[in-house]
Amino acid sequence: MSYKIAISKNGIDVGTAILPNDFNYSSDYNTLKYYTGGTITLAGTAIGAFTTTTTQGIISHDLGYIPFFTVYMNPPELSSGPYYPNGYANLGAGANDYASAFCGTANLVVFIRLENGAGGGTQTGTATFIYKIYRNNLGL
Amino acid sequence: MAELIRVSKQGVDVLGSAGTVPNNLIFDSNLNTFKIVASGTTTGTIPSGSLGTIHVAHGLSFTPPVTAFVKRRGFTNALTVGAFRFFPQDDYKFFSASADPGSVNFEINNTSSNAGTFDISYFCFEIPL
Repeated sequence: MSYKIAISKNGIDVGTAILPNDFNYSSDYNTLKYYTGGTITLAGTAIGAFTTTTTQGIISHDLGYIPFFTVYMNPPELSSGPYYPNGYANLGAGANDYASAFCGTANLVVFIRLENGAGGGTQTGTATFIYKIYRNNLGL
Repeated sequence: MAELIRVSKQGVDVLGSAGTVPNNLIFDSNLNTFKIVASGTTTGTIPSGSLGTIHVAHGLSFTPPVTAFVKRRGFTNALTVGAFRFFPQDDYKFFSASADPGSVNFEINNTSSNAGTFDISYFCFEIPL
C-alpha cells in the first residue's frame, strides 16, 4: 500500500476524491517550487537608418541546470505596461521593437531589441522585466 | 473550528495578521496549488526558414492548460512560449504551445539558415479547458 498526503477542496471528501482539481494539494502531483524572482529594467536607443540596438540584462541563478522560469515584460516603445508573458514584438511601419528572455544553466537573460528601418531617426525604448525562477529542472 | 496547515515565509509570523496574506506564505491548505498533472520531453527537426509543428500525446482524459520550453540542440539557452532568439545559427521563435483532447502541440519558426533539432520540455496543468 502506498501512502500520500492529500488535502481536498472545501466540500469535497478527500477519501473519495479522484480528480486533480478536487485537491488543494496532493503528493501525487508535482508542483512548481519557487527559487527566486525580481525585476530588471533595460533601456536602449537606435539611431539612424537600418540600425539595430540590443540591450541585455543578466540574472544569475547558478542552479547548474536550465530551470522553469517565467518572465513578463512591457512594450519597449511604451516604456510602461501592460505586461506580456515571455516575449513581445511590435512590427511597425518604420521600426520594430522586441522584448524577450532565454535561460541557460547559470543565467536568465532578458533583452530588448530596437530596429530602425529606412527612415532612420532615433528610436528609444525601456522595458521592465518581472521574472520568477523555479527549482524545477527542465531536463534540456 | 476549521483546521488548516499553513507555512509562512521566513521572518513572517504565521499566527499574526501577516500570516493570512497569501504572498507571505509558502503553503496554505486553503489555497489551491498549481499541480502538474503530466510532463515530458519531445524532439523535432525543422528545416531552415520553416514553421514546424511537433505533436506528442499527453495521455490525459481532458484538454489541459500547457506551457513549454524549447532549446535548439547544440546550443545552451532555452526559450519559453512566445519568446525568440536573434543569434546567428540560433535564430528562431517559439510560436505556440497548445493542447487538444489527445495531444500537446508546438509550433517553432526556424528562421536561421540551417535546419535544427529542437528539444522541448512541456508541462500540463490541472483544470480541464
